[in-house]
Amino acid sequence: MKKIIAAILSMSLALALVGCGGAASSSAAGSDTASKPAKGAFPSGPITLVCPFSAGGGTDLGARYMATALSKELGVNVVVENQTGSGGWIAWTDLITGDYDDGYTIGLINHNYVMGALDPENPRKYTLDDVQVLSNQVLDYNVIAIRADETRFSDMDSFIEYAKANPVLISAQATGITDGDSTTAQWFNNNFGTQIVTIPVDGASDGRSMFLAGDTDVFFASISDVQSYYEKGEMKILSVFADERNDFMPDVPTIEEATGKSYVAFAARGYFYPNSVPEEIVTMMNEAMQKAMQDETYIKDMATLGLQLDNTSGEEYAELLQSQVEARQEIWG
Amino acid sequence: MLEYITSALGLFASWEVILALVIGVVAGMAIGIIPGLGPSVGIALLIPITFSMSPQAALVMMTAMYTTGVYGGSITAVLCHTPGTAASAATTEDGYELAKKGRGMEAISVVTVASVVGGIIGALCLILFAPVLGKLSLRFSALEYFLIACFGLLVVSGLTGKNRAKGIFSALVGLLIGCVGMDSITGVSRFTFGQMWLEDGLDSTPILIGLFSIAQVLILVDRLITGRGNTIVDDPSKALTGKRWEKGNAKKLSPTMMRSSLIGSFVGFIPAAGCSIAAWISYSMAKRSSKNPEEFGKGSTVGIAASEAANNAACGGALIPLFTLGIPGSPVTAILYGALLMHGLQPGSELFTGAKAPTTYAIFLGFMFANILMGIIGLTMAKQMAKVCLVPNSVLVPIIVALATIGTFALANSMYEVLIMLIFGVIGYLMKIYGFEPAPLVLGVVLADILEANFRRALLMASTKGGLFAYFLTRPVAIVIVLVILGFALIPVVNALMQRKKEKVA
Amino acid sequence: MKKQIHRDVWVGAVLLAFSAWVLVLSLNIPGQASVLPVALCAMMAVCALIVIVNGLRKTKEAEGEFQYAMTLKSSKNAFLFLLFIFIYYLGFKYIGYWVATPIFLLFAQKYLRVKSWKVNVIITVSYVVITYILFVVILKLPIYKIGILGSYFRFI
Repeated sequence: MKKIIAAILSMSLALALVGCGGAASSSAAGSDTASKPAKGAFPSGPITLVCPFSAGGGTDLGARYMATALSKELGVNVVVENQTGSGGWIAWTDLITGDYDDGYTIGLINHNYVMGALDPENPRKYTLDDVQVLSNQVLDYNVIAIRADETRFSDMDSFIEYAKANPVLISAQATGITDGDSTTAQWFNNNFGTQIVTIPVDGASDGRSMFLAGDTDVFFASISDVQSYYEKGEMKILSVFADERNDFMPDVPTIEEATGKSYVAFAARGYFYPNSVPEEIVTMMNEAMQKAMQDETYIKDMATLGLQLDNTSGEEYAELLQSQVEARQEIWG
Repeated sequence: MLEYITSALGLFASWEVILALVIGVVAGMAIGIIPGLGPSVGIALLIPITFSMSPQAALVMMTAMYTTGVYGGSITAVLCHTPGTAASAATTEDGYELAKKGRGMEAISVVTVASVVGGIIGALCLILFAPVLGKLSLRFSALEYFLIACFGLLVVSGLTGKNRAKGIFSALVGLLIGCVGMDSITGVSRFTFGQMWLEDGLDSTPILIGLFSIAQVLILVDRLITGRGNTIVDDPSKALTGKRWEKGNAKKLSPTMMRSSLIGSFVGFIPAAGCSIAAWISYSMAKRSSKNPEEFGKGSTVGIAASEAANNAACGGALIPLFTLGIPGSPVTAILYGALLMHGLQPGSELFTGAKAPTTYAIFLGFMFANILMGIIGLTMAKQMAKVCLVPNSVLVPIIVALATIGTFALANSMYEVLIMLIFGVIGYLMKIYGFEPAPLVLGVVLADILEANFRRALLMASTKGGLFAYFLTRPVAIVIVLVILGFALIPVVNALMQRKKEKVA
Repeated sequence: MKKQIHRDVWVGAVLLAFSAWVLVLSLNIPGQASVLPVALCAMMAVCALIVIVNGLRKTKEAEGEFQYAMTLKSSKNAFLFLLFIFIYYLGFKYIGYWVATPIFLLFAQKYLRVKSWKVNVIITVSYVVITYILFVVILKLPIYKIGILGSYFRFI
């Protein structure tokens, strides 16, 4: 009996220590301990931001920075919850089909969402029509990079020449229309007759390490993936897949400048509400997000992630996402 | 490098960092002890909390939690047959057998000392060799990962004592379970029966908890109700006999601990291999080179020392490719990668030279201190911890079940994991009845994706370079691994030959 | 005297049937992704056969009845407790952790013959309090999402 009490006491002590550490954490202003938000002015209670990817990743960090800024703006606690699985589909499906019409739960959406219906192996049921988009948060344009010490080619023309004559390896997170890098490879093969072969890998860092090790020949990625290597001079960026040159790497030509053909490709991450949330709340939240994205701390924190901030919202945002669907469908035929 | 270490020590002399270290160690042990939770969940949960801390404090706390989380998992492996992570699975049988005999305190002490030795050696490899070894990890790619996974699987199948066919069957089932979900290469869904939550596959942790912990709970219940035993220890009156540290232990266990630490550091350093593979390879090597292999599985302190030294050393080793190249050396380090980025520590050579170097070395030193602190706490509390074996099962069993339930839920905030745990609890119990080993199954689940996906990737890469065999010949690391595997497989043959020679001469 | 067949023979037969079933599932997988599962099933079938053969050999070699250390029949208590755990799981899922757990702890301890009610209650209360602080307050796990009564225990 005594031993049990001793065990309980020591566990409590350990927990108290952890508790101190936890309490010293950032807790947003105006925390409301009501378990269910009362009816009245929105928001009157804590808001949940559901992140479909795991804690510590780029998407998750962006969500946490947004949550902090949004808390200041709305005056209530905004908490990030991670609900991972199936590349985001577990969270997205749950939000669309579940009981979330009070506006207290916001979802995070990325461009992969709109590709879901096109997946040949696993066509998803939900499209942009099933959600109300709020604001975008980041826009990360695709690039093509080669190693600085690459000897077989040094610019876009020589690369295309080489790739026409020899099979060239790239890595991507999936093969097919649902993946941006794989689609870029297909675009090259379609337009220039290159022989680019795609190796599926599990994550962006796997792809990057394969490239650095020399196991793949070129790196199709986005600006944030290569930014630090570009700055250190370890990678050379052949072009960026945008209509205009990018502020992060102003000396890199656009794909049109480099090849004469245009192809805009990017990754986008933003927020959404399910269709059942009333319009006033959608508008209100959108305005709050737009203001939150002007917050200085937010901008400073996001800068550490090397991502280009973007705040397209509403209709325009939906169109932005849809444009990628159409671009890819064209490539894959 | 010395200047960096001295500045690193300077960084350490701050309350924030020291407090972070202590919290990391204590919380890590607590989290490791709770079944289902483990360093990966713990660190992922810590990330938001460490948002506002300085980089060195945050990372010291998290790396401390990594190594102590693995250690905590080994404590419950010994006391309750509940490995906290797959890394402690190798320690479970021997540790628990010792606990049943009332030598729980001794077992915990061995676990502690071995873990500390492993952790320190891993830390030393990290501090002294990280930049050099960093470049080496680039030489590992799909083919090498596949071969390492093969090695791990061979190792475990070789451990299935009496009934080879049953052990291999377990491993095969494990691999099959590992195939559930979306195929990494083609995206096809396998064995998902239309269920979305299965698309990501089955995580090994609920399976581990079910097979080891729940199954054991059922066994304890059975013993309790039929009046054969009230506590984990078979005979409470003889409990806690044995000194904390037998006289000859240092001599007996040192060679094993040294060798295992080196194996652990190296295996941990190989990207994608993790602490569990390191533990199994080390355990198996110890068994192969032991003069009394029959002891393994029945309470061998050598086996425990081998497994524990390796799994903590692997934590240190896994940090090497993480810091030098941003390549996670194990699943937990994949989470740490996000933490590094969050605190502005971009992996690469600048972490080791220049402005960030003191921070980096402070983190490595923190990792080493964490292991030492863990050892001190562990040894002083060994007796207290071992007393868990004296807690009546009637109290222990419900608590274990309740904790395992919430711990497993915490993995992915989903009830499905709990259901899997229960299902595998039944399977584990049935396996116990009919004589099947659970460990090969777990390792099969862990290794399936690494094995299959990398083999197919290697095939793809080789297709542009003239076929698999030609590709293999161009890769020195792969050739070395195959030689190691062959060597390992041939050890018993060589032993037998040498035995025969001795007999001839005699 | 009728010889008892070693149970490994039956076990092996079940495993063989299992391998066959999974083989059929695997053959339906399109493309390259079916290669490994099919190969695994083939190897599993071989192992199952070996188990059967070994079982037959043990049957031949043995004299009289087999004494197994554990059998299905002797495990009635274990399976009954498993049922309790499963009910607890259902309670957690449909009602909520903080309601189901105290009920389970009190009941299980009583069932497993904890002698004094006082101890039972103290353990239960301490466990609930400590885990609540750890999992909900500190770690902020979304346990409130589970079960009808779950949301009453939200803490933000």
